[in-house]
Amino acid sequence: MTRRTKNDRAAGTLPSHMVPPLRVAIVAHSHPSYSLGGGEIAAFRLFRALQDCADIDTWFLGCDRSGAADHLGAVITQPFSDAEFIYRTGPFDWFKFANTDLQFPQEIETLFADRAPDVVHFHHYINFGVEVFAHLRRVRPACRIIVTLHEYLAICHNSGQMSTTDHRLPCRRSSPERCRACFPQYETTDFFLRKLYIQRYFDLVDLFIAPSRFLAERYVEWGIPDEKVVVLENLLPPIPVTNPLPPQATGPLRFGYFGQISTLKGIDVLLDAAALLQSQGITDIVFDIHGDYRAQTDEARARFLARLDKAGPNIRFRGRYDPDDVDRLMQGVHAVVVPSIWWENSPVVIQEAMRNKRPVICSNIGGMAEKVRDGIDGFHFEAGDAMALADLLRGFSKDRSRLARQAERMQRQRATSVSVDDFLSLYRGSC
Amino acid sequence: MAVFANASLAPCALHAFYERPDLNKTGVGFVFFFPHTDGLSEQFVAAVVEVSEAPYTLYPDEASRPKTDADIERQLKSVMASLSAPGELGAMLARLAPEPMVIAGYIDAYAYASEAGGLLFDGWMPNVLPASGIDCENIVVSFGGEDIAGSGRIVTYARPNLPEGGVGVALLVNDAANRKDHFISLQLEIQNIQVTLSATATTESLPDDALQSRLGLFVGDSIAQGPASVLPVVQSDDVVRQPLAALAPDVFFHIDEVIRCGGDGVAIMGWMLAKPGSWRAVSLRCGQGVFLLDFEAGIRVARPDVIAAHKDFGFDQPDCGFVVWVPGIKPDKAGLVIEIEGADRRIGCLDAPQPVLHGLSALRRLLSSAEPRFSDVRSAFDRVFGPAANALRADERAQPLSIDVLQFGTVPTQCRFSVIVPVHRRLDFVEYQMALFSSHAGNDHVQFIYVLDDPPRRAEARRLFPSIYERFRVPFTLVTLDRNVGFACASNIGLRQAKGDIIAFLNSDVFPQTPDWLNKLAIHLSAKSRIGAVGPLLTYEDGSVQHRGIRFSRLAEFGDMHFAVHVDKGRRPSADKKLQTHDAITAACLLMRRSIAEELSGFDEQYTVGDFEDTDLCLRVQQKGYTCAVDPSVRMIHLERKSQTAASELWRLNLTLLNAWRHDAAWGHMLTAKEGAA
Repeated sequence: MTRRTKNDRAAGTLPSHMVPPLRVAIVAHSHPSYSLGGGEIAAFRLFRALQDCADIDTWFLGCDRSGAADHLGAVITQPFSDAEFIYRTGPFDWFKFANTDLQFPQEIETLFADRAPDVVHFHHYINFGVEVFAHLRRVRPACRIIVTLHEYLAICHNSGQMSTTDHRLPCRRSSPERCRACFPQYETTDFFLRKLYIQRYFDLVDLFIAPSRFLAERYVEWGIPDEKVVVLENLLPPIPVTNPLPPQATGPLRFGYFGQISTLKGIDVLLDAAALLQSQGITDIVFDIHGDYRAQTDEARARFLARLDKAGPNIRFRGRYDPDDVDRLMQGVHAVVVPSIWWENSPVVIQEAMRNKRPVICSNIGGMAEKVRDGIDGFHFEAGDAMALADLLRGFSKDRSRLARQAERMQRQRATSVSVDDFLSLYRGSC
Repeated sequence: MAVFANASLAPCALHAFYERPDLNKTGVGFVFFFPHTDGLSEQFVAAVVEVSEAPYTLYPDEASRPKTDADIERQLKSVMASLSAPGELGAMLARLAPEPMVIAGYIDAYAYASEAGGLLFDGWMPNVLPASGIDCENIVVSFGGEDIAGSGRIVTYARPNLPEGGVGVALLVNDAANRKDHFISLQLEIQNIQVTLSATATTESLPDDALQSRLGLFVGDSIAQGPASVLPVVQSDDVVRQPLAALAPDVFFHIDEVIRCGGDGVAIMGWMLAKPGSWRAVSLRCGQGVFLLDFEAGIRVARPDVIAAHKDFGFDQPDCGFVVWVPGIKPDKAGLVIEIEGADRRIGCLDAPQPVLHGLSALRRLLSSAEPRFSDVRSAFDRVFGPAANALRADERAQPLSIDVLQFGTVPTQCRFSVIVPVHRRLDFVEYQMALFSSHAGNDHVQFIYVLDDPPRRAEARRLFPSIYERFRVPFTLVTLDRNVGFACASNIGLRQAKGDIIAFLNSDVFPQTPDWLNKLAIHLSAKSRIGAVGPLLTYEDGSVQHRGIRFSRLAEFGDMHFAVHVDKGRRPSADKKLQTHDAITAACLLMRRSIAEELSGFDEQYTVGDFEDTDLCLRVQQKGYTCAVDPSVRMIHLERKSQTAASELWRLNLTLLNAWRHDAAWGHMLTAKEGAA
């Protein structure tokens, strides 16, 4: 897996003041005004950053899935600004990501023909359908098509998690037989055809961006040619001024959990570990849980609240938080725990913790293990194993210096961060 | 004789006996009527009656008092109401009533009886007639046009499922002309009882002589009950008819299903247990026609369930089930009756169930009835399944078929190829196929024709196919049928729409992997070529061979008939990419010149549903002097349906055997000779 490095802009034959601006469209499956998922936030952040670039002419295309807006006939509208377009989604085939909306092909072709982008950077193909690459090619044959892959949807019908439907075990590799074992209502031939359909349209894409090496490897294994995949993190907000918080010799050690309250994200592992420490009489470790449970099922929500009720004093539930407050909140803890039981890709919470120079304590699998180097960026524990997590944390409590040294090390590290220039060099195809 | 204080009366004119539950079977109730024109005020002393040659003297008890007419009427009526009144009592009451009693009944069916030369009616009425067979002088029958009058005979008989106190009634009006027009009612008078029998909304006017067989049973029953004389037309000879149950325990018989095969005959499925020598013949009566059932010319079926249910009767006939083909019968509304002639020449009768199934469900039921193997296969199909299926097929083909043609985009002006794809069940396969076709170049010389052979999915197709055109932008023709006709017929309908020089028959579950497949295969079909039909290498999703040519093999288990075998199925494809000739190739992907396809009239539509129509086509291609070939350098994926096994559905296997039988009739000798020569 080659990692592309930053390069200078390719030299053209015209003097720089006469080079026409590069026309870039950023496409996402939603819009920050409608939802705050990682994919649409990353896409929109990139769009804003491109708007600040002098030689870039950029616009944004998102989706409205709510079905609430009804402009009677117009499926692509502009409710926000001149540079933003919204596609009001219609019927969609989630099995093979096919868009059966009759009006969409004509309308999207007209939009692309009118706006004439040189580069279209898709942060998703859901809601638009994978056929959108063909519609674009039809009107802009020379356009550069780039797709950032945010999860494993093309590979895995189980919401793109690559974990099994029965026990949520991480699944390394798809195949018609394995997929059918998770979804017996389909035939193996259905999964064969699904892949055939998606790959027929993926063939039209010039470049795939993977935020983690782990994700890149999964897709190459699945069938995307190696030379078409590049690893590049998502764009992040500017790095904040950070206050160090070295652990004191005495007093409570505060560990923070940030993110959705869900089983996949390991909330049960955390609560189990806390309970274990409680029963062992460890009183100087506390957990601050910052997260939202509203998106969970009624059953999951009820289970979590019941556990909270019975939890000891070392668990403090702080509720959901505004993404703008995450820096402040992270700086209030000694370390951040990411106990997800699925592979993850490149969790935003890890990037945020590292920007705030807080050690990350995470499961030893997938994108987590890749982004957090054990002993350098934080510490690993066995995925799903509450006792292992409890043992690790108890060790920190007994020997405060371990965590202190880690924190010091991270203060000294130069923060590396992806910049918009990295994307521009990919757009220009100069690497 | 009734004796009064100062007088005695003449012999009693009317008498009736009835059950009196309060007597607890120690006695019987009676009513005696002695006609006397003057009133009577004397005290009643005694009555002397002779019943069955035995004298009885009857004395009044303390409570006996002379009553008024109204009292008597009331008492008699209450007696009648509390019992299922025998006819005699009702008749007496009618006689006693000052006005004639008016009785209303209904006619269910009527028909002209040619032998008797009169009109036969069948219906029911309250049970008030004095006897079960009575001649009548003046019967008035009202039709829509006019009334007719005549003499006749009325017979009552026991009939199930009537309201309380009702009885079946059959009536013959002599010398009445054949009337088919709208019957309204008939009226007659019997001993002061006026009977009106009216038509209802469901009254049936049956074809000539169609009523006798239906009535035969019931009149037969009433013979068994008593000495009532019979309608002469019902019995043409002195044969005694009785319900089939009367033949037990020597004979047991049951019909599971009757399948009407167009206008040409019926197939009958059932079972029969009979002690040797206890029966002479089994026939099927339909109207005036009688058809002998020949079990030797039918299929015997093992029926362990029947044996188990009759184990106490000592039968040793494990193959007591049968499937019989009876040609020439045209069952009508009158129905079919099984008649089993016993050893003593009495006839046991059984109503056969009405045929209800049509079309494919009839064929499916027929082919689920037996499982012939080895040497039984040919005879089963020659004698029963073959002719019955042919008759069903002829009937079905006579049904009108509505064809709707919709064009998406425009048909190419220079049309080199026509790709014909019948579609059934999985409409989404068209999405996948079209997505693939849209990635190939050169579509502007290709006419794609999809034939939707799935009427219940037309609404779904109407929603999906416009989106298919919008998304993939490949023009195509959509042909929609209002009946499911099967692969051969659907492909031929597609052929009639074709304009290309070269036809490609393609299954909906075949996905080309070689982008230029049409041109590459068509190279072998140049004007000078001796190749009449060419196809690609077909593999499963895992890359192993699904088809690369067909040879024939005889299967002993299935009557030694010739079956298609896919060469090298399931193996990894060989590296050799040279063109190979074969006895036959599959129609899952088959290219031929349109001129040849039209000369041969496409597929033979006698092959039902699917199977053998492609080998039949290939053998006919060879008959014209051409060969069939596979080009392994062109590859496609065929998601062949895996569930074709016998275990799951007997009728599917038998359908395959039906097609094999047809195929073998046409090609068996030729293929065997070729084997011998090889």
